[in-house]
Amino acid sequence: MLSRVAESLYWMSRYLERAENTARLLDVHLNLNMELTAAAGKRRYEDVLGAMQVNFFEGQMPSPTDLTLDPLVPESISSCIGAARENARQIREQISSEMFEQINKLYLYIRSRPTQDRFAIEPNFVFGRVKDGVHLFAGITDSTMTHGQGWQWIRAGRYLERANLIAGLLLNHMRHLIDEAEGDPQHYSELLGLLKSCTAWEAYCKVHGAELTNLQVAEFLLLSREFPHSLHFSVNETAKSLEALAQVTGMTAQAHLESKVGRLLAQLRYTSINELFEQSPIQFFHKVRADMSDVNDRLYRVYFSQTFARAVSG
Amino acid sequence: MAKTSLDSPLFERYQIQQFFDEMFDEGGQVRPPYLALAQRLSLLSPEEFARRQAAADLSFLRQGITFTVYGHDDATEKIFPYDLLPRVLSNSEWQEVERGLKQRITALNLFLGDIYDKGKILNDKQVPRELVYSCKHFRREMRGVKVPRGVYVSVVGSDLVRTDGGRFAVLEDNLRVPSGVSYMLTNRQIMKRVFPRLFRDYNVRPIDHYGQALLSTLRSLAPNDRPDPTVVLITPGVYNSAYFEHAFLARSMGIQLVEGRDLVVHDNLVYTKTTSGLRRVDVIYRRIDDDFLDPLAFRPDSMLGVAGLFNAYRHGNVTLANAIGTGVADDKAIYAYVPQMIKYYLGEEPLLENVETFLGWEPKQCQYILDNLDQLVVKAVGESGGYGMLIGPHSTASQRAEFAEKVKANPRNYIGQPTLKLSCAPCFTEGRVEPRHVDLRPYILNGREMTIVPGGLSRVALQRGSLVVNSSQGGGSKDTWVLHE
Repeated sequence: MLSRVAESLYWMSRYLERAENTARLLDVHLNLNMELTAAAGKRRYEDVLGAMQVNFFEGQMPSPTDLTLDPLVPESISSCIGAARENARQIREQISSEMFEQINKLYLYIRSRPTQDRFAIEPNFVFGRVKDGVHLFAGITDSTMTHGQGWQWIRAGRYLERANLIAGLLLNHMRHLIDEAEGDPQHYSELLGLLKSCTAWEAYCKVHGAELTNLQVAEFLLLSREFPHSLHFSVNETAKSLEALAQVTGMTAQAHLESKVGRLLAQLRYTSINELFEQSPIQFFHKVRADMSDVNDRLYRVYFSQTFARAVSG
Repeated sequence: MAKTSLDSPLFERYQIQQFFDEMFDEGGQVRPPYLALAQRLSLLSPEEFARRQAAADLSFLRQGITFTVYGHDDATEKIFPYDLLPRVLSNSEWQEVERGLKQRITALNLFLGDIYDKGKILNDKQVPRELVYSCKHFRREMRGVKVPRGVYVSVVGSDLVRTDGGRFAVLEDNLRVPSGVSYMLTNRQIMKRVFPRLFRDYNVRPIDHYGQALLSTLRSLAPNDRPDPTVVLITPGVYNSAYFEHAFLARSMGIQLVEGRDLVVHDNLVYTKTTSGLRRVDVIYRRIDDDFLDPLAFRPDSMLGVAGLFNAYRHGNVTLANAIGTGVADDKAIYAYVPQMIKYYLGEEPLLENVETFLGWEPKQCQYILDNLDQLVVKAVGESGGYGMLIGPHSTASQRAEFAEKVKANPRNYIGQPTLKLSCAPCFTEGRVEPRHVDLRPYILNGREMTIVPGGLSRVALQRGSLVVNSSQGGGSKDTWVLHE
């Protein structure tokens, strides 16, 4: 597979995952915000933006509307879907027609005038459409595309992006919550929001019931092996796809990147939440983010930028 | 102007013009190939037809079948306007066209092989030497380069027009990188979806095998007959106006779509950069103009090409389709000599006519062009896509004065042709059917053998009275049916 094509598949997938995450985070926040005090609401919004790694342009905090519809805000849903489509357009002969049509439909939807009008009245409707659109794309991908190299790139992009976001969410929310009194209704709402930001509320309840504590929430989001929006699950999927990619490309010798992911995976598998929280959990979240960005850099060195000199020496 | 014999609200505004009409004869009777279509249309209300047209448009937009219009800042991605009414050709009409095209492409290919080798036709003074050497698409670098099977042009999209009396004539040969074939194929897909019953009953010759035919043509041109050759399609990239088509063709052939930056040349061999390292390439179907192919050989500022590609090509390690330097044979001045080429190389009379052409290069003919600017269509010889032309009868005095200056300044660069009476075909516009001018672009493939899929792209000038069918100038297209009979 062409390096450029692999790179586009990977970013198409990362951008779509990001669009869906942003839609969910904003949806949850706007809902929760109605019951928070102004100060708590502002703090929470800052945390959400921190988790999404939004840059403030000249100190201006972008509004939820900007982050949804404005194609000039680089982190907005509209920008992410635009970037995903642009990547898809460059490789449209590599993905199935059904996949391109779905991404194109989503793009036409988010950029349309009626969508903007609808958002002003009923933002959650638009968020719902975005989430559905991305889920549909994932389903179409799984059922219409060969589960070969291209599909693995898509999977790697999706889960790497997801792992990065979960680490970011925990990092930004937990640094406050860790020092606050548990059982306070405000605190409870914040934990609830954190779970819902990862679609984890219902799944959590089935394990722990409606009782929310810092430790249990963190444990669920970090270490659950079975829940698809946990860090453990996401890192595991990333590792599996990187392993498959090294095999299918014959780059096993060069692909040291698995070791980084493998070590993180071992840590998630064999560390208990108490151990993590005895040491500094915040530092751990920082490390996960650094690891993910490191894996991304190594993908470039091994797969995406080929030169003749490297091919000969490799 | 006459009314038609067709009693249908769809056709209530239809007036038969003084041009050849594809669907109706002079008396307003429906021509035989269109009879079943006419019958079906008379059962459709304009509202129902509009609904189906809207469904077709939406289908294009959803699939992202769009092209880029240069020179606009916003809304640059447009769907290529599509008209639902098919153009129908009988098999006998088509076979005549097919024979004529095969004869013409054979001669043009021999001409290219000749002028880049011994230049016999030039020595025998059948085509003026100065005209060939002064053409900006003539590539000195190609002298003495051997191309596989002697095939210079492997993909051609000739522009045919039907004029008075319904005879087809060739307007342009398009031997460089002709586009539009993806619209021919998608038009058909959408037509089958929107009018399935009509289509099934009509016995139309299929065109779906184009991708496979193109691939086997390209594979048959592999250097030194290398077994199992790797074929790639090179595109200028996603911002090119025909990007959709490049992706479409790569997918229909199952080959890689590459950009210049995906290729690297080492020791005169061409490789693609892949996630598994470098992989050798044998045949490149290139959708990039000569000028941009290799910054070392041609334009040094080209970011689209591959450094060293021309040397690999000259060494015979990679095939380019089409070959470099084919543009000289579709120069609009050299076009005038194609009938002589056919006689010279094949000893035959041309089966397809040329359009009468006056050369700015010949002083007498140049004077004729200048004296008749208000009657003629004047074109720059190396341009395509409907750019750089003057349509005399539709021009203003100042436009004519401006063009007269251009022609005087560089007569070699201009030709004049009589304003053609292009044939008309029915098109759905503003809720009813009206006649619009059309041309026909069949696609010819030339490798081990010559293949032409039946039909081609019928392009339509959507503005009433307009003669310009280019997509960049507001043209649209129709599906073209060749019947089995």
